[in-house]
This record gives sequence, structure tokens and C-alpha cells, in this order.
Amino acid sequence: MNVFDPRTFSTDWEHIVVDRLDRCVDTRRLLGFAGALFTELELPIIVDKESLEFPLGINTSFDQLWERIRRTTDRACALLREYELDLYPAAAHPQESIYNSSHIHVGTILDETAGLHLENHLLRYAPVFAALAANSPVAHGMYLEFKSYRVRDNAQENIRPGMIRDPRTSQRIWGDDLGPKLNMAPTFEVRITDCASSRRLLAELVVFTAAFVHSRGERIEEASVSPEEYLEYLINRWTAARDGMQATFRWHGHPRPVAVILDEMLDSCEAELVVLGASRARLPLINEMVRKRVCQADMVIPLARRYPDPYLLANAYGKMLRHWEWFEEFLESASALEPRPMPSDGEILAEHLKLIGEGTHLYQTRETMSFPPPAADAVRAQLTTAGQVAEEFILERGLTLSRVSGSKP
Amino acid sequence: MEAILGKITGVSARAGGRYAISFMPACLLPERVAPPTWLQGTELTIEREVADPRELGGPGDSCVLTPAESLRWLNPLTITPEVSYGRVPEKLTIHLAWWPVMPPPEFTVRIGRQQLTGSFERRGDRHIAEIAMNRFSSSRLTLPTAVAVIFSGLSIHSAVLPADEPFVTRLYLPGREIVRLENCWYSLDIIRRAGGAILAWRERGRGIDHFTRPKDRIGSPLEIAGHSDWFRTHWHTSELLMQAVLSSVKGWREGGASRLQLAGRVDKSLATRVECMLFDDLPLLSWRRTFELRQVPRRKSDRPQEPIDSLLSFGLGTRGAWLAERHGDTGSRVLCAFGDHLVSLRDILVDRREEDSCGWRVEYGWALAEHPGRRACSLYLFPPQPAPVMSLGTGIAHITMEPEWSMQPASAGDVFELPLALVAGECCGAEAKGAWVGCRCAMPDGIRCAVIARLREEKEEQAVFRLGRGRSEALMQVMQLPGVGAVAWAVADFPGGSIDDLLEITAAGIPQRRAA
Repeated sequence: MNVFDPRTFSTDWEHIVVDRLDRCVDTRRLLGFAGALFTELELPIIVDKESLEFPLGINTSFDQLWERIRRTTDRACALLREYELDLYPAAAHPQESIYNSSHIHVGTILDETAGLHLENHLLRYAPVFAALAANSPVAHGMYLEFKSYRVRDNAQENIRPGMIRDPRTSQRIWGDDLGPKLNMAPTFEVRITDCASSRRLLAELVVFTAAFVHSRGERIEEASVSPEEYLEYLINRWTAARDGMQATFRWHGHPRPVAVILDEMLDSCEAELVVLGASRARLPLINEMVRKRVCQADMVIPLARRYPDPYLLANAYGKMLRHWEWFEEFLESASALEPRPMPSDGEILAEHLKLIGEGTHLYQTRETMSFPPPAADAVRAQLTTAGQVAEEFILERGLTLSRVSGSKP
Repeated sequence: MEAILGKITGVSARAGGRYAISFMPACLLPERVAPPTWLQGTELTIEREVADPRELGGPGDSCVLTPAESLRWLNPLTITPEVSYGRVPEKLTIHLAWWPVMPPPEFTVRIGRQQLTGSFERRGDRHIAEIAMNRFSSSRLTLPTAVAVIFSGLSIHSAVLPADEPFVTRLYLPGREIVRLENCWYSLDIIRRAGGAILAWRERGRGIDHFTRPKDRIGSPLEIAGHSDWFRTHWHTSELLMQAVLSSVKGWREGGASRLQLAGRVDKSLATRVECMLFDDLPLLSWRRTFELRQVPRRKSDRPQEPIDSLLSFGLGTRGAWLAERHGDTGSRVLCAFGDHLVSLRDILVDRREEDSCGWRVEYGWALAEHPGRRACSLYLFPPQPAPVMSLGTGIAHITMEPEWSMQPASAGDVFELPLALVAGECCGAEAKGAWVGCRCAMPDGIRCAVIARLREEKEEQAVFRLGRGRSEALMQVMQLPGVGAVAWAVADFPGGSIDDLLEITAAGIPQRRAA
């Protein structure tokens, strides 16, 4: 008996809307368009913060989802064009402080206890979805050090790393990378995914994610996740944000390219894909992304290199985003990329050191990889013992860290 | 830097993957204000090389120009020299990079009551006019003065400034209207915009601008570098002061200082004033900001009123912004004191605004921004009480130091003052017991060095200066600046010293910080 019954799936696709002065349209004005589209499309189109959000209803088949994606965006574009506005389907804006997602909802789940066990079990796969969807290599003036600044920055607290939860001692929480969300439509939500710029990729990504989550709903067991496995998840999450599809994860202590993991995941949910009217063969974009180790961020990177000024990039990027097939064209012509090495222990330490300036509050170092207290304290102890960091404690400020001059990450 | 955002009227392919883009200027980035009048209704063309022509868009779409591409249209009229010292230059060259009407109309050159009319000569794609200035009588001119070039509604200045005397004067330079205050130490450019702010802070000795900013990026000038103040009546800083252009400008010389008063309305309920004073003999600027609350929006008069209905919360702060050095284990930082601790703040992550003051405040009335890589530092002095909290902002290119004072209940008629004293220089020292900044300037017979300090305890202290092989000790003097409190200072002269000699200072026993 699968915990998901009936098998449904959907996405909440968030879009920035821009005008012809390259301004992001504000909530007040977006509300009217959301209302008009809600009425016309009979889908619960809403405004979320500064974005127009397309919740694509309850879907039972790949074709149904694709049709809704196509119909919704075609109509939204036409309506917005009447007012000289454009959708800006990107996970981040080069110049504005906005992050967007295409959250994926997998249904139907009524057993919240089972959902929490599933959350613990699926946590290790959250970075895989992040790598596949990575699409924010530029954000608010930050350029090209990460393929998903949205995941690196936890989307300004709109996502956060998950925790291992015991259903017997849990409350409803919001914002984790993935988990059951029964307070509204009874679904299991995957939030870690960046907003897609390609309609077709979004359809493939949603149906694949749903099928994979469904595949794990067959035998829900209490997951026993060790602290070491939890750390792997956090390191992999950071690696996915940095490297996208070129990432090499720590997988049971060993390096494993994310493309290989995805390949196995795709094969493992073939039966569930069929239930949703899909198959691996019907996911040509994802197959090609796996083969070439390429994600949407790789499409944006050359553009960002040619436009180092965020205003100029925002302008050119916005025009390319009007073309839904941009990613498909890019993927077809892209060369395969090599996997980047798995971050070593030394690199992990160095990444923590990078965030330590002078008088840096202890807690700011947690922003590197969100290590839990024992692991974060161990990193701090290593850096202090190695003479790379000096500590100072003032009752009113707490513990602050300063990098010792000459210590290099 | 500002840049033009245009609406495309046409795109046509040229050879080699290049495209000609015709457009009508729509606004200026980043503020999206209207383009200057001479660009309105004018079609312009740029050429771009792109990897994919879809990046350009088509008619009706926006196109964003770089600051460099925009420059000749935003500042079509320039003049050489912009500034000269001591006497009127022998020759003025007026450049016209572009004009919508060709041939361009005549221009007028004016000094005092004398004026002449001239026309441009075409040289390549530019128009140039050279004016022999001996056509004007300069015997009665008092400096500072300006040679004004008036052209089709545009007016720019070639400033003629006193060679060896401090002054304050209003200047119209290409793209900016400023008030310049100058002494032997500094040349400061202050603007009426942003409610009165400091746009440029040049050290005349070393010739560096502490508020230098990248010229190739679109952005508000004060966001990346400069001094501005702010207020708030809610959680967030009000944008009204940034949008305010002060209407009254008065500059004069008095009591051994150049003085400037800027005043105007922020909106109908708030007036503001900046009074600043650049001392002739010291590297020290007094900057006093005043806000006067004229009225508080009230509930409808037919509703019952309580005292709270005529109150709002008012808080103020100040913001120094500098191009950040961020090199990993060194870089720009902010220093201040708390109890017996020297607090050093240096954020690595960008796009941050830290309020690192939950349980502590900046004590003893000073905060210091240090940029060790380029040997630049700025000391802000303010009243020791009430003590502010410190906010630090990091952008992709800049760092800000923002002391912020607690909000207060405010009603109509209340006045809020923020007295500051500002110093910029090349070296600094900081400990919990005080902080100082050192500076030098060139004098006719050598080098003069000065140190300005805020010390926790008022007692007799020495400053030791070393310039090259020279050494000098000076007793530190103390002056009381109204509102700001005690400011300690010392000056040492090094006849025969060079501007290139290494300067090292120890003041009140506080050693010079080493670049780290």
C-alpha cells in the first residue's frame, strides 16, 4: 500500500514580472493580474511577495500538467503583454533582491506520521533536486561563485535545511527543503528547487520528482539517520548550490557525481513515472542534463560573463527569458561538463574560514553549510587549534571570531 | 554612475555580429528619473556585439546603456580645464561631444559681467572651441570665481580657485552641481541632493579621493561611496531624505573656517539643515545635521484625540560608504570601542546589513573605517552620550559604517540634531582608550602632518610623528566642538619633507595600526 493515494502532483511556479523600464512590478499591481488569471484559467493563481505565482492545480498525468503549464503561461504572457509587461521566469534577479522557486507538490498524502518518516528518508535526495534545478548563478549583484545563490542564501529564509524529525515530538513547520504539508492541500512538498526558466523542463522536473517521491512511499519505515549522514546532506546541499549538475556528492562517505545518482533515481522510479503517464524516455531534457552534467545555471553563466553590470545583465537576461525554448536550444548545443571534485575536509574547513572576517559572530560561520552545533564547534576548534582564528568573548556580544592575519582558506 | 535606459525604435544587423540599436531615451538608471531635456524626443543609436540577437529585443523593448556609452549624451558639454588655481587659464577648450541639432548653436563665455559669444568648430566627430582668455580683463577678479559657459540652456563652469587659501564656492561641473570646500588638507564636494551629502573627499596631499567609486557600474553614487545622513519614523530608513534637494545654499568664510549651510524641506512635515565647517588649519570637518518636525499627521478631527495621536517615533543615523577592500584575511573594517574592548567588524559576505549591537553600544563617541590596502581611513566623532548602535552594510563593492541613535517619541516642533566631526587620512590608531587618524599636506616649504583624535580621558598627551627620517613631537591640544565634545589634535611640520615619505604616528600612546 503506497502512502500516496491517489497519485497526484503539481507545482507552484513563481514569476517576477517586469515592465519596459526594467522595474519589477509590485504586489499591488500584480494582484489584479492574479485575480484575472484565477478567474479565466480556473487555477488558484496568487501573488506571493513580489511574484506572480502559478499553482497548477491537482494533476494526475504528465500531459495534463504540460497542458496547464502551456495554457497558463501563454495566457499570462498575452495578458501581461497588453500592459507592456513580461514574465521573468528566473530563480533570482541580477539586480533586485528576489528569489523564486517552482515548489513541487506530491500528493496525495493524509498520513502525516508517514510523511515525516518519508521526509527523514528523502532528506539525502534534496540536494540532488537542488543540483538538477540550479538556476540562480547571479543574484542581487552577486556573480558566478554559486550556481544556485537561492539555495546558498536559503532564499532569504524561504527555505532552510531540513532536520531529522520524530513524528512523536514534532510540530508543523514551514520552509524546510522538503516535507509533508498537510495544513493545506495534503501533499509532500519539495521546496528546494529553483524556479525553472523552461516550461518543458519544469514539466519533466515535476513529474520526475513526483514519481521518485511516490516510489519511496511504498514502504515507509522509520528512517534512522546518523549524524554523519546528516552532515553529508548538508555538505551535499552546499555542493549542489555551488556546482549544480557538476557536483560530486559524499554518498555514504564516498564521492559520487550527482549525475550518476540522478541516473539511478530515474531508473528506480520507472514504474511510478508510468503511473503518471510518463517514462524516462519522455524526459529528454533531464536525460540530456544528466548526460552532459549541465543545468540551467550553465545557460546563464556566459550571459553574465558578458554583462558584468547587473542592470545590463537584467535587461539582456529578461529578453532571453521570453523564449521558453532557450534552455532546450542551449542544452542541445552545450558541451558536456566534467564533474567537479567532491569537497575535501580541508576545503570544507576553508569554506568556513572564508566567512570569518574580524569580529565575526560565531553564528555567522553557520551560514557556510548550516552545520549543527557539534559539527560547527568541531570546525571552530580545528580553526582555532590551527592558529587560523582567534576567539573573543564579550558578555554583551557573545563569542566572536577573527581570522588571524596570514591564514589562507 | 548614471546610464540611459532607452526604448528601442529599431535594430539592424551590421557586419561581424554587430547590431545598430536605435532608441529614444526613456529614463536614467538607477533612479529612473527623466532624461535631461536635450535628450527628450531624440533618437539615438548605439552599436553592440551580441552572441544572440534575442538579447537585444525589438522595437518597444528597453535597452540599457553602459555608463561609458551614456556619457557623451548625459554630459555633452565639457570644458578644459575644469579647475585652475591662482589665475584664469590662458586658454579654455570647450568640447561638445554631441548635440541634437547640427550645426550646434553658439555659446556664451562669461566671467563676472564680461562675456563673449562663440561658435564651435567641427573636428572629426566632435565640436570644439578654443577661447583665448586674454580677451577678458582679469585684473579685478577675486577668487574663487568661475568662467561660465552657457550653451543652449546648459551651463558649466571652469573654476578659478585661490592657489593657497581656503575657500568655499559653488560650481557647476559636467553632470553635477556641487559646493566645494577646500583647505590645504582637503577638497570636499558637497551636494544639495540627498538632503545634503558629501560626494567627494579628496586628500590634497596624496591626491586620493576617499569616496572614489567605480566608473563602469550603474549605481547611485552615494550608495557605494560618500557621506549621507538618514532618518526613520518606522522600521526602515525613510527614502525621503535621499530624494530631497535642499533649496537654500549659503557658503561663507568666517573665523578661520569655510562654512556652508544647506537647508530645505524633506516633505511638508519635515525640514532639514546641514551646517558644515571646514577648519582652515586642520584636517577636520564639522557636520551638523538638524531635523525639525513641523507637523505630525493626525487622526480626523471628529474622532477623539489622545496625546499619542500627535506623536510619532523618530530616529536618525549617519552613513559613511566606501569602496570595500575584501581580500579574505584582510580588508576594509569598522573599529569602535565598547567598555575596555576594541571592537573590530569586518563582514565577508556581501549583500548584508548587520546590526551587530544587540547588547552593546558604541562608546566614547567615535567610530573608524579602515581600508588598509589603500592606506585610507575615516574617523567619525559624535557625542559620547547617548551612545549609538552600530550597523554595518556590505554590498558587492562597498562597505558602510552606520552609527544609529535610538528612536524617540516626537511631536510637532521637536528638533533633532546630529553633530558630527569627520576626519579622513592615511593612517590610524585605535584602542579602547581612543582612536586617531593622521593626515599630511604639502606646504610651500615642506610637509605638514596632523593627527585628530578622540580620547577617552582628557589628560596631557603627546603625538610623535615620523616622516621619512624626520621625527617631531607635539603636545596634543584639545578643542571643544559644540555637541561633538572634546577633539584632540596635534600638528607637526617637516621642512624639506616629501609627500612620498613614509608617515608614522603614535598619538596619546596609541600606536599606528599595521595593515592586516
